[in-house]
Amino acid sequence: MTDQELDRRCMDRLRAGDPKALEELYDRHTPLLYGMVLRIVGRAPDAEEVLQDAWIKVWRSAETWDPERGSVVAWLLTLARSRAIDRLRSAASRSRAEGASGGEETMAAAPEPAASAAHRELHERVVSALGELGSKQREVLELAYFAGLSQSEIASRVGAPLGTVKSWTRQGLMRLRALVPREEPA
Amino acid sequence: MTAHREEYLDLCAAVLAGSVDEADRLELERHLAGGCPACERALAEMSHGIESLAAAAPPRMPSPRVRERVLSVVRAEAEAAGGRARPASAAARRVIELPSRPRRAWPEWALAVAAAILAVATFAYWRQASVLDGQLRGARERIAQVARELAEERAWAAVPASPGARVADLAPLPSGVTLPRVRAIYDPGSRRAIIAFDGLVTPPGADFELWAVLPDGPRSLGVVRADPSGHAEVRVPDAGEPALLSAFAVSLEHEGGSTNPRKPGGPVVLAGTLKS
Repeated sequence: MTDQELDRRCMDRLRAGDPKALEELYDRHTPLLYGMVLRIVGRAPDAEEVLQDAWIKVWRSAETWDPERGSVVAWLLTLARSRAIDRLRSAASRSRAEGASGGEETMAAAPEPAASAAHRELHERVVSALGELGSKQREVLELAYFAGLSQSEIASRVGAPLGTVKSWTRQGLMRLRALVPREEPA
Repeated sequence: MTAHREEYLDLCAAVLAGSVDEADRLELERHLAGGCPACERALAEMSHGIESLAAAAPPRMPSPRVRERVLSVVRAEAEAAGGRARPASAAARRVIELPSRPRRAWPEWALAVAAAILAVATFAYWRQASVLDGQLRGARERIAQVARELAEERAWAAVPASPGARVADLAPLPSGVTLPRVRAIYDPGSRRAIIAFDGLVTPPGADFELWAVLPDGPRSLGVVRADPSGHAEVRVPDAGEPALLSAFAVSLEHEGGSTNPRKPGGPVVLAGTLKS
């Protein structure tokens, strides 16, 4: 059974009110979610609060997941990222966010040994794939996803025309998809 | 639907990356409202890219306490709700066959009338079933909401009763204004804190603001306003790490509170260290 099938079965059980299903999803996906949230908010105590809120939201709104609109992982990432970006945009985090410009130092940090081999391998493949993108494409993707900047803000940050930033974003995502193929639903 | 253009694919990418400008988002929504196979295909393809992008951050594990806290909330709510809606069992949907009856011949007009009555009755039944279904769904949601609130209240009630609870009675500092009596109770297990204010009289044009004191400086817990009897209770779902949280303080601010959530703008008028 693929990871996606395992996830979908967990979501069925979650919708039926089975707490064990959340436990399984938590154990399988927390390294990815927490790594992403920590990269965005920058501080472990803030990241842990965001992660905790996100998982409780997953439990309380399992019925809003629509299998037609994307994978379980994509849904989990969306829930966690939106909370992380909200936290980043709060007044307390604003100054740090602008100074960090997407947190290059966190990007360079080594994966934690406690994360599974699969998560570490995926991270290494993605870092290697990002290395194959042009530096501007990479910067645009990171500013969008991890710093929560809008396309207009990114254009002014990197000093490029808005239209160019938009096409860099698309080209970057398409290239990432090609360089890091993911399992398809069975 | 507006005709498809290459630029819409760029907007799809911006939406997925969470960076679309508002005007572009509205334009893309209008375009997608009638369906656009090219954009829908691009959204599906690029969503894989987004999942990969998230993995650019090194995978990390949070403190085991996060898992404990999440699962304790989830288990409490599941227990209180007694399980959410489940699919009907096969037994409940069993069909019982009725014995056949001898047929009578009916004139055509009678069959037409019967068909019309059946159609009206079916429609009425369908409408009634829809209304009942909506009411049932609403009732289930209300029950689940009440169960969540009950679990939440139980969790707060456990704070002062916790064996490891730490207490701080905030002592007044020279200020020249009438100060409230303030007691803070913090449960290191759940990291929840309850701060109770009595005799809280806010001077005109000012506000009292509550702060958690941490090694990297104070963190605002918000402006405190009393009910007509001068009582206020502040509940903080996560007041901070037990090893880091040392004290609570109250400052006197201009109305609306300090503009900096990490630094009081006015004088600190009450402070107290947490004691076991």
